Amino acid sequence: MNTAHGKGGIKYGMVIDLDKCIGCGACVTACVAENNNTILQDESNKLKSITWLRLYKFDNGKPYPETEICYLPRPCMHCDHHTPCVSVCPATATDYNPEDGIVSQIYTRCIGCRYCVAACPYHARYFNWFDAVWPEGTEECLNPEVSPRMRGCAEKCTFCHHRLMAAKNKAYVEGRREIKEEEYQPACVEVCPTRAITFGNLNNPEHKVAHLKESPYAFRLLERLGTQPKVYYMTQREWVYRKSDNWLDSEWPRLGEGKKEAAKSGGSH
Amino acid sequence: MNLDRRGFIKFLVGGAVGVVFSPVPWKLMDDVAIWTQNWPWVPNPPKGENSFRNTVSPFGYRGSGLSVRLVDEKRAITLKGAEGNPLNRGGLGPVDVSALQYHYHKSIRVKGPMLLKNGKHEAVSWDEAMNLLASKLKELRDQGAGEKVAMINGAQPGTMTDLMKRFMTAYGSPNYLSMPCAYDTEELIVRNMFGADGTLGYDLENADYVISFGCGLLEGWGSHRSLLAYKKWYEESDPYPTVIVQVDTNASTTSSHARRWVAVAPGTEGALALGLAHVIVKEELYNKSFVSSRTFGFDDGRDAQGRSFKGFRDVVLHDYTPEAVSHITGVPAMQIVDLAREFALAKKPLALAGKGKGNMPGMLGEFMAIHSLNALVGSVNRSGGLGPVPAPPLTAWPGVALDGAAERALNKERIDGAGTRYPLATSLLNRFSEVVAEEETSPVELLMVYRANPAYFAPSGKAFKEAMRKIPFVVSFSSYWDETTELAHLVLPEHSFMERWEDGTTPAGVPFPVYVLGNPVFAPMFDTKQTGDVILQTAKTLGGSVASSFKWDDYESLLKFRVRGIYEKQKGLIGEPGALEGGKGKGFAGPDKLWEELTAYGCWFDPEDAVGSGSTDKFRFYAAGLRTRLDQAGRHEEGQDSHGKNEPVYVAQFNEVHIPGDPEIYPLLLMPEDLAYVYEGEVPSAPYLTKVWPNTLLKGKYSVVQINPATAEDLHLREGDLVLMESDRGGAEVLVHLFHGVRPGVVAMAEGFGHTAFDGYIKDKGSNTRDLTVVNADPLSGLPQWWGTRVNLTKA
Amino acid sequence: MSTLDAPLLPEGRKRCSFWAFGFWMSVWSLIIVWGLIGAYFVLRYGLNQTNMDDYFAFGVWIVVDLAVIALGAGAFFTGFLTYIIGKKELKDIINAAVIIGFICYSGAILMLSVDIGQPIRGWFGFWHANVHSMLTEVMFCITTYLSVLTIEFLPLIFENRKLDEVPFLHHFAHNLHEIMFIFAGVGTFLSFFHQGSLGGMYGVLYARPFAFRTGFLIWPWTFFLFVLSAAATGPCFTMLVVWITQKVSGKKLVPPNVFNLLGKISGSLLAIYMVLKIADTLYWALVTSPKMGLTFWEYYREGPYGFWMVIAELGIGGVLPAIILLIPKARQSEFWLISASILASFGVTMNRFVFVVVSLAIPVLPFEPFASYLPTWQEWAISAAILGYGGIIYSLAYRYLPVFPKEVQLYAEK
Ligand SMILES: Nc1nc2c(c(=O)[nH]1)N[C@H]1C(S)=C(S)[C@@H](COP(=O)(O)OP(=O)(O)OC[C@H]3O[C@@H](n4cnc5c(=O)[nH]c(N)nc54)[C@H](O)[C@@H]3O)O[C@H]1N2
Ligand SMILES: Nc1nc2c(c(=O)[nH]1)N[C@H]1C(S)=C(S)[C@@H](COP(=O)(O)OP(=O)(O)OC[C@H]3O[C@@H](n4cnc5c(=O)[nH]c(N)nc54)[C@H](O)[C@@H]3O)O[C@H]1N2
Ligand code: SF4
Ligand code: SF4
Ligand code: SF4
Ligand code: SF4
Ligand code: SF4
Ligand SMILES: [Mo]
Repeated sequence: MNTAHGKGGIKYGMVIDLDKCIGCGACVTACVAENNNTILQDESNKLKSITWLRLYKFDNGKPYPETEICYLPRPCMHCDHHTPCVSVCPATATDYNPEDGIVSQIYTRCIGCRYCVAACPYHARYFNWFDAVWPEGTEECLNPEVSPRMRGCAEKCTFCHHRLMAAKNKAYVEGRREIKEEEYQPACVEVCPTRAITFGNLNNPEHKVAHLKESPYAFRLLERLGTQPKVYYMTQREWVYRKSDNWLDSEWPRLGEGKKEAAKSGGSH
Repeated sequence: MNLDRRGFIKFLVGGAVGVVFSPVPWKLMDDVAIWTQNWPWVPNPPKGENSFRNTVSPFGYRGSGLSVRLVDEKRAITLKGAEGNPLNRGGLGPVDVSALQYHYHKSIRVKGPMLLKNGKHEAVSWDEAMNLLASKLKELRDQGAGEKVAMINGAQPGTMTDLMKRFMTAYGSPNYLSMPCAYDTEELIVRNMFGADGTLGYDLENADYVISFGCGLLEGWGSHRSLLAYKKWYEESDPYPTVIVQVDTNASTTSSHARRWVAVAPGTEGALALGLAHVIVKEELYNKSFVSSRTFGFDDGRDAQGRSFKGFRDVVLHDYTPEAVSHITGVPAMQIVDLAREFALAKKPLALAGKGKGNMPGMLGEFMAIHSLNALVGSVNRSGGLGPVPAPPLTAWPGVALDGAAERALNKERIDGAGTRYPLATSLLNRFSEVVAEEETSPVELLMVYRANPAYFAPSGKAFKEAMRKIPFVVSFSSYWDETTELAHLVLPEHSFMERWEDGTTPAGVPFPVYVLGNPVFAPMFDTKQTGDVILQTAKTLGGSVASSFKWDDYESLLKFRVRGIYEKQKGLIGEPGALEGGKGKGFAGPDKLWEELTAYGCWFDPEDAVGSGSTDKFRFYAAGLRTRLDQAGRHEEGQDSHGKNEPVYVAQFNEVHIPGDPEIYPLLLMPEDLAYVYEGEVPSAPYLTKVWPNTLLKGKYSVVQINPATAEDLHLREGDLVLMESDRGGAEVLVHLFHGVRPGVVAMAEGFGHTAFDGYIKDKGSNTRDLTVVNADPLSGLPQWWGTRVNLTKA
Repeated sequence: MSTLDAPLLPEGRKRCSFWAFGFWMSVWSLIIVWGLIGAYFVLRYGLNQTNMDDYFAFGVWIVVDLAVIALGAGAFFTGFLTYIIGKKELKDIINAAVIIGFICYSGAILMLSVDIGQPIRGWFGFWHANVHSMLTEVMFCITTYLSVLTIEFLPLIFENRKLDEVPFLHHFAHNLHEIMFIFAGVGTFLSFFHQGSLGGMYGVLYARPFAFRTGFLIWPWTFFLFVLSAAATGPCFTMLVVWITQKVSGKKLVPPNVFNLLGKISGSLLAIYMVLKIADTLYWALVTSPKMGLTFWEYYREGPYGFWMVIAELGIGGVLPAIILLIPKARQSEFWLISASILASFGVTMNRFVFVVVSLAIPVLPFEPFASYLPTWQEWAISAAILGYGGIIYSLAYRYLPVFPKEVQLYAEK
């Protein structure tokens, strides 16, 4: 079915510039607020708490004073090829939409088997181990466009799908079929103080993402697995790029080669 | 008999089959499944009409414009940046994004006036509460003991801060204190080196070579404007157009994103700046026309009062050779030379002064050195440079009427010795805490705390808490049950930021005048009051000269009175979308129209008065003003250079800070770390922020400190070990994280944890650096310093 | 000596006193009660009662599920040998095999209903089935196969002395016996697919380099390896249980030649399995995994899941029992036969553990940390309850049903 939507069409995606990203976490908080992620009193247990957009921090491991750190915001990659989570879900509770390339999640259909959680190599999937809770009184500011989830089902970043719906309705009312680039922008993109995240239709040459993803500094996470993420990253820092995938000692990839790698493994199944 | 049995079986089997193939079980299954999808205890936010409303974030003094998304104008759902605001231009920091939680989080809000009765806070009426405050104030004033009243104000520069100062003056007490911050030092610099008033602005966007001496440029230093500049610097191009050099002791976000990280020994940034100056002067790379025409004190000479002085040239050439500086800073001499040449030869070089977010005053000598460096390369008062920024043209305050009581009290010495024992300082919260804590009976009878949480965040936390217990009557105006409010005798809660008026003037580092005005989006949720109104009414109740200094009916009309000044000047423009591109102001139809637009967009600014457009005042390498203050106070030794020569110098110099404590017992140096995603001011980090924190910051109830693997080896510590960290002031149990980026011998620990107030989302999480930090005074200014505290780590 | 329930006991077979039996049963019941308490906590408060997390999406329950389904494979494979291949002598053990299979499958399903976060929606897997999911198919096959097992179990139940007096049931049971080969066939087909797809579940995780295997058409090699390993070790487990029954009851229940035959077949299958499994492991280690940037040794660098697991699974739990079972003399000796059965059962359990838990312990993102997992008491309790459940069903069956056709005859011979 990938082949069915393989020829162009709309494919929403992101380009995150890791050199512009200062790891402030605004995107994380914006996502939490926009998408009603539950909040535990102990969020330091990253394996049981829910953060659709996780901010990773890692360093180059070099001795003082050559040490450098990097922050990496990790939404759902909306994998485009044989979507790992989608292909394994027994209840079709998570699905790949050929019209926009967005990987959706149907909370009310999810049986909570967690096979998708196991299948996703990016740890982008979260399971509701606990009942939905928010600090007393803050339920008032839950977003009505996004339904809070019940205990026992899985969830993940949806590219703020409800915003796409809103934009579509607006366009429909105004008798348009096309949605303008600025009409559909996720919460994390909108808020970023350094504008490190760009979002749009990867197949539309008028959208910034379309040319950003062609930059020699653009790459994707675990590209060689062939999941074909629609979230791209950019950096001019060699060592950061090398953290984007697993390499054998024999391999010593340089920036820019990420693309060729992908070309190789992309078709490989 | 047989038949019956068979019939029975048939019935059973038939029945079973019948049920299975009837719709009944499927319907039932479907129903229960639907039930799991509508569990009553899962909230179901009601849908409604969306609308947007602008206001301003009061958090972090950044003047960021907020666009509040409302549903049915009843509930605020999310915050994003206001497009027209020139400071954040639609972007927003994590603290601001989470701000709604401060408004809605019921369990941490103070729901009405409270009075401490035998150890418990009990609700009282506003009348009772305010009369109590007024009568106590009156009582002391009538006793001629006005100075026994003190106030700590943590509000941003703006009308509330002015009002509080004014109140203390009219009432008659010298003991007005502010929470210490980098602005304390900047004020001295602006006045004594730039010969101006107002704030110091940096035109970051147009600089092409930036050396930051310890500024947390990407950790929250200055306004969001720094981040917009950063965005511009890192526009996609190869290599990036602007060179950033970060001078810092430990690896940080900024050092990692900078083109180069220059690792210096703790507290020696100033020495490095002078080292660069030495090379630039020696190799004659400095901007000669600028130095000769637009500066004073480069060469030896005599000042207006006829006092001879040693010029900047001699000082740096004599004392700060690359070798000497290399010895102090640990930076290789060759690197110092290269850096100096790069800096001097850049088109628009710019040097930044400040530590981390700016929660701490800087060292005067260091700031002087860095700005002298800017002057050397002619980056003062030009685009891509820095310079003083005039205050926004708000209506000036009318004079304060002082009666005899006020006059007498105001002439008494401040409890913290600022202005006398410490001639250059205006407020020293740390000294205040120590003095009160030491005295038998507190010299303070009544303490008012506004928009600050000193019981948690005062630099010498332990001393302040002791002091607080000694003070007979503490009044808190806080909206939240913070550490200070929990100890207060009287609580007069203010509205949340979504319910009150809140203005502010030009935030730190912004290169043009700005005025922001936040407005009440909602009617108050609880029985709270605008503190401005509380102060105005208290003044009226006190009567006499005090009342006559506060003629405004209410706080809103006071704000209108001040904003009128902008209307009369007819300068600048409203921060509405497109304004920045528009450029010039069109003037304002009328005061009411201006007020209307200000409340609608939340911001006024004036690019015409941007750095480089105005002031031609000379830059002073030699700060005669400082000398005069010190002479008046009969204190020359502060002016002496670090080599203890008798001849005082009043030009930039490096003073080695003596860090108290025995290195034998406390071999390591604790350095507080500022992070963009931790908030440590008037309020704690909101629950949303806890999602951002990595495990190398907080794990369960423990703070995580970072040390260099080499340090760990010496102490036989391993990753994740639980250790006891001790200083002269106290101890804390923390977890160890090994990180090469921390200088050997240093312990890096984030501020903002270890709250003992609020609720389970932040209470008892980690430890508070300020319970351990030992505060010492900057040799030149006497301002508090706590960037380094001697500690030791022992396995728990 | 006649006990309270004498009229219910199968004719001519010695059984312990009702009281002794009652005591024996209460021991198993206690385990079940503990399990039920655990289940209450999980269903009432949610899966936060376990130590599973977003790293270890699957825990000990799934390990036990996969293990018992593998060990329960004795049912389909013995059935296959008995009815399809026509190894008539296996009729002496087929009942036991069926009962064990029934216990394993029904137990697994019970446990799954606690494991999933939304038990009440469990059936959505059938309603909104996703054909691409190996799990969908596992769900379909296992449930269908359980009904087949039930049908295979029924005639035995109806042979209970009292029920047999009912002419309808008597004839029903008889007729079922006649057509049992059909169910054996269906069971074999279904088992082939779900055993395989259980392996497929992991093999298709192509983004999880530790689990991913290339394969044939749409099936990763794990598909076939799981089928084979189940077929090989299932009968071993059947033998093990029957042997324990003999020890506990102190009676001979099955003629030695049956054990010998099963042992021989298991041994051969196990040998074939080991050859293929080792080949698969080598191919994965040398080709598949390196393609993904991870080398064999990287997987065993950190944490408790070291190279020892490979030795334990493939060596001690695989090659060793295979060799033992292939030596006729060893098969003759009860000691070696049973030791081999134990080792083989251990080996297959180890294999399932490795795929379920270790696959997830190994980070794929270079900046993710390694994690390890220990179950909570709730998880242990519910796992143990399966044992209790099995103990009870099996004991009841043994006491009240003519499970072992040769029991009387062997007793007489003594
Ligand atoms: N149209 C249709 N689709 C079906 C079915 C059907 O009947 N009709 N059947 C469904 C059923 S029942 C099942 S069990 C599933 C099974 O179908 P899948 O599980 O999809 O089986 P494959 O497609 O072989 O999955 C293996 C996948 O792994 C990837 N792969 C293969 N080799 C490599 C490699 O060397 N490296 C990497 N990284 N990846 C590789 C390829 O994407 C390949 O699609 O198919 C389902 N899909
Ligand atoms: N050759 C070959 N054999 C295989 C596989 C393979 O890929 N290739 N895959 C193996 C695997 S993994 C699996 S799960 C099994 C699956 O094996 P099956 O369950 O047989 O699945 P299919 O062969 O895909 O479809 C079964 C039959 O259902 C028909 N069918 C399709 N849609 C419908 C429908 O809506 N209603 C009804 N009543 N019938 C419909 C198809 O035309 C087909 O004849 O096959 C296994 N065997
Ligand atoms: S908001 Fe922007 S800068 Fe901040 S962490 Fe997210 S992407 Fe990075
Ligand atoms: S990243 Fe994970 S969750 Fe997102 S689509 Fe890919 S596999 Fe699914
Ligand atoms: S899940 Fe995989 S196989 Fe199924 S439709 Fe999507 S891509 Fe194709
Ligand atoms: S947890 Fe939910 S979404 Fe994930 S695979 Fe199972 S049913 Fe599908
Ligand atoms: S796109 Fe939307 S859902 Fe996804 S991370 Fe960004 S804000 Fe969260
Ligand atoms: Mo399948």
